[in-house]
Amino acid sequence: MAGCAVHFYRKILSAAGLAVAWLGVCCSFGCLSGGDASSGPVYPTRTIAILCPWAPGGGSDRVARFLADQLQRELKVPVVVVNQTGGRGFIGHAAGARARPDGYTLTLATFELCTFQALGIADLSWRELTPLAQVNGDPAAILVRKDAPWSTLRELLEAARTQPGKLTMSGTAAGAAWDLARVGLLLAEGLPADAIRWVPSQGAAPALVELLGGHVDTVCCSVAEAKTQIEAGQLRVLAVMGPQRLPEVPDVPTLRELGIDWEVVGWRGLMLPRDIPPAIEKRLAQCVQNIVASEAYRQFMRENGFGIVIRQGQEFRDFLAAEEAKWNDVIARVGYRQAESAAHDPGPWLVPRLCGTLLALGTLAVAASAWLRRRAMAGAQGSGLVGPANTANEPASPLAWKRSAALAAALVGYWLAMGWLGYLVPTFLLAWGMMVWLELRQAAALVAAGVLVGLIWVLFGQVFQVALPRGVWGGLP
Amino acid sequence: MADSLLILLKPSVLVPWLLGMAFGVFLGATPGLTATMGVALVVPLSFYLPPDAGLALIIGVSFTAIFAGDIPATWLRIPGTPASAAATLDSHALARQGRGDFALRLDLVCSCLGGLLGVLLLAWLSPLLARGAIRFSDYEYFWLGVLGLSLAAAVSVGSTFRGLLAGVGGVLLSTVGLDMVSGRARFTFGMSELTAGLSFIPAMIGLFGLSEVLREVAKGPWQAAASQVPKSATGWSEVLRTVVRRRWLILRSSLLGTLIGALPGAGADIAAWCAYGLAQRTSRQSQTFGHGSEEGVLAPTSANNAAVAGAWIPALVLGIPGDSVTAIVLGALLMYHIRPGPLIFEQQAEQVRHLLWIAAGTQLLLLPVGYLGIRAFSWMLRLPRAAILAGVVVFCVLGSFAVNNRLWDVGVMIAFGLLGVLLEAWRVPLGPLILGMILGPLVEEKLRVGLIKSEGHLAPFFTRPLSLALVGLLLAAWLAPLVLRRLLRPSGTFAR
Repeated sequence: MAGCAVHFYRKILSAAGLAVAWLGVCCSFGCLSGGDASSGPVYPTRTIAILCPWAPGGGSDRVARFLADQLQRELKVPVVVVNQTGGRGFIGHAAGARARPDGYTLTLATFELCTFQALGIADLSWRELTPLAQVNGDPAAILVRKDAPWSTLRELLEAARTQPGKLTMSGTAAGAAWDLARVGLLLAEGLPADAIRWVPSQGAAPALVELLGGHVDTVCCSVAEAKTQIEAGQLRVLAVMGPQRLPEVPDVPTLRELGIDWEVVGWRGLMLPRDIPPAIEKRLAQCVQNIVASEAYRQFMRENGFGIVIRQGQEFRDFLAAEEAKWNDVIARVGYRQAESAAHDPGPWLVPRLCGTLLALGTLAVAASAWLRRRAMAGAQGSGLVGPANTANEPASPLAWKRSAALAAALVGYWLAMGWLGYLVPTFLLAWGMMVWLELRQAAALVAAGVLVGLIWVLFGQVFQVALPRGVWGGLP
Repeated sequence: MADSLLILLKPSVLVPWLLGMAFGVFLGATPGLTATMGVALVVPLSFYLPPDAGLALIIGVSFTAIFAGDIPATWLRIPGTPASAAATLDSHALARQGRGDFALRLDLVCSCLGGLLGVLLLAWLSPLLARGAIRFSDYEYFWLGVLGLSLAAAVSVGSTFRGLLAGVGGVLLSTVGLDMVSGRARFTFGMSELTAGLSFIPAMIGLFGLSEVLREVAKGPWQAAASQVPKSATGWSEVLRTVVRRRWLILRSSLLGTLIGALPGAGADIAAWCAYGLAQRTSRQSQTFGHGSEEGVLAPTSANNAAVAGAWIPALVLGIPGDSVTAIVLGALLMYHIRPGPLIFEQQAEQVRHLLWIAAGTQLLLLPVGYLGIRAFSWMLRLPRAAILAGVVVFCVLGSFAVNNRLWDVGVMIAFGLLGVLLEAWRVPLGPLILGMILGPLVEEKLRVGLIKSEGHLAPFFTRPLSLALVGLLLAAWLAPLVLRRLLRPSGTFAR
């Protein structure tokens, strides 16, 4: 057994040595071919990724996929969309800011980027990225049911003034774009921020269902998100919060026409990591300019109901700075950071405290009853028992658990290795190592591991363009 | 109508359709790879195909993956997708008794029937159901979530008390991350990755897939082929006889599955658990559940396929996806210029008809494709166990990564794998934990948003007619079996 183990470890070492040698070769190639783009030759030479902080199928994802398609035509390399969702868009934006500035990772930035710091979600601002271009702007809109008692926004605001806190509005999560739009509108009219109560929802779609069902009074979202219901005549738009009227709803006035000094436009744009070489930035800026000038772009935006608002370069930067200042001000005035929760919300700690208490009490109860039962069991039982009884499934010896622990440790090492060495090499080593450890013949293990990794690379890496980790060769962290 | 069918049987549509179904079977049958991931991968490809072919490809993948998850559940005790978790216990127990082939064939037929029923209901009842779904508000969703959680604890094999604890633990784990209602960060400990919370898909992969591998690794022997796949002595006739004998249960489960799938937020996995729970509660042989009951296989497998069809109801009529798979498919539909909404049946009737034919056709085609999948898998099982286990680990890692393209989720998966080993050692059921992670956010959100809407009053949770009905259902689900047992078998003992 010991001899086998030594033999096995020797094999692992030689495989590791080979891997290191291969790494060295690849690194040198990597340095030659685009690792350092500013002095290097042609850009781009491999797949470009657009990070999308929102889920597949949603509006931002669709915009990202369209842009990816167009960029692919322009740059003649594959361009894929990689969704990294969570944290109200923070995860995707943060990943985009952290990516290597080699031009192979773009970010589809959205409105939320200017609110992370103010809301206390994270210390990320648009200055950590290089803004390339804004490609879309959808103003917020106030919607009501077609049989609602208010036919203009003024009437709605009057109702809110006379009975503050009675009316409800929904559209997205608390502190997200449309909630902030509502807050700014109320503040601009001299009303308190909770004159119309905000009912959080998981996005516009469920909020519109609530509105149709009569469970909330109004919804604030973009016209694009409510397109179907507006066209079907079930909902009416009272006002839009943009600089001018929208072609989709030409009879609806803007806030400025109603004399309210407030504007909210949910925007989407492309950004690069900070410190990007100017040559690459210029190249991509030119591509984006070509795309937004094209008929395909106009048609795509029109069909999906997305508003066309384009800003590039310094104009985009100025817009972002203004947005950041605006939201810092509004959020500070409302006190989102300080306030634990909205009115009547039992707060975010109710459920964790309840669950924690129940879990602690329950675990104590189970442990106590198990201990009592063990004491009641007379005679000498095998002391290797874990827990109340031994099931048939469980291996009896603690030595066996060492094997499980070893595998778990190997997996953790594999996980960490992937961040440095990419996906393919560590996976091959893990598959091969595990099969040999489980006493498969080495030749068979080599073949099996090779086939497995090869299939994954072909199917998932090439055909489906899954952005497998590339470690030090660039790509996703 | 005839020309719709003819269009669908053209090779240019049939080939991608069958390929999509085969891919769906592969995805579903491989623990670690999920239907959500598969559909997300396939959608960009579908844009290169003509609309009918592209739709057939996407729908083929999404419907078949749900069935195929039952294959490894039966042979390896590892569900291929979350929706198969409910059927795992009984299918695997049947496999241990040498009747695995019977279980899978039964599964296949029930999935097909459940799916067909779901599509029929989708076609005939969509407008009605969608209008009804509008009246559901936070209060009703809250009770549904509580119902789901308690059913999951009740159906878990072993101690119900430990099942409830697992459920509570799952809810606690689900609170990690940014709170939707208030925007506060909870339990993030300053780590930015945790603002997204603990995604339940890597957790499920780790809890069911990796933990099983970790346990297997501690056992031996190795040289023997994975699990004994005896030459099948069961023919199709026995399967068909069982189906006919249990036809009402299949009908009930499919109906329940469709209705639950139609509720946004409740998907195939919850439908499977609810159907399993209902079948157990209404069965005359409830003690066999978890030990190889055919009802325990029939009910969840028909329900989860029906639920996939049911999820299309709010998707088509309201534009609201019932689960993550449908969300991605909806986005793809928009790219195909099919706009969901109340008028879809009037304005885009022909496209909807195509969709429905594809959905129905997929259920029928599931029989041959699924059967081939079963045979392919049992051939794969003859591979040495070492290769299978290594493969499962690799796919667990790949699947966890591909959910959100983050290596972080692989770490989550590993952590949950270790947790799963620990919990099984303490005889804590795993199913309620996952359901707690899925339903926890729903229950919490609906409770708090409901209170915001009602200005702090708890009354609407109990006085709204639909809420009242659900509370009644909840009480009935818990009390009825106790009462029945008391009436029918005065000397009966409770399972413990």
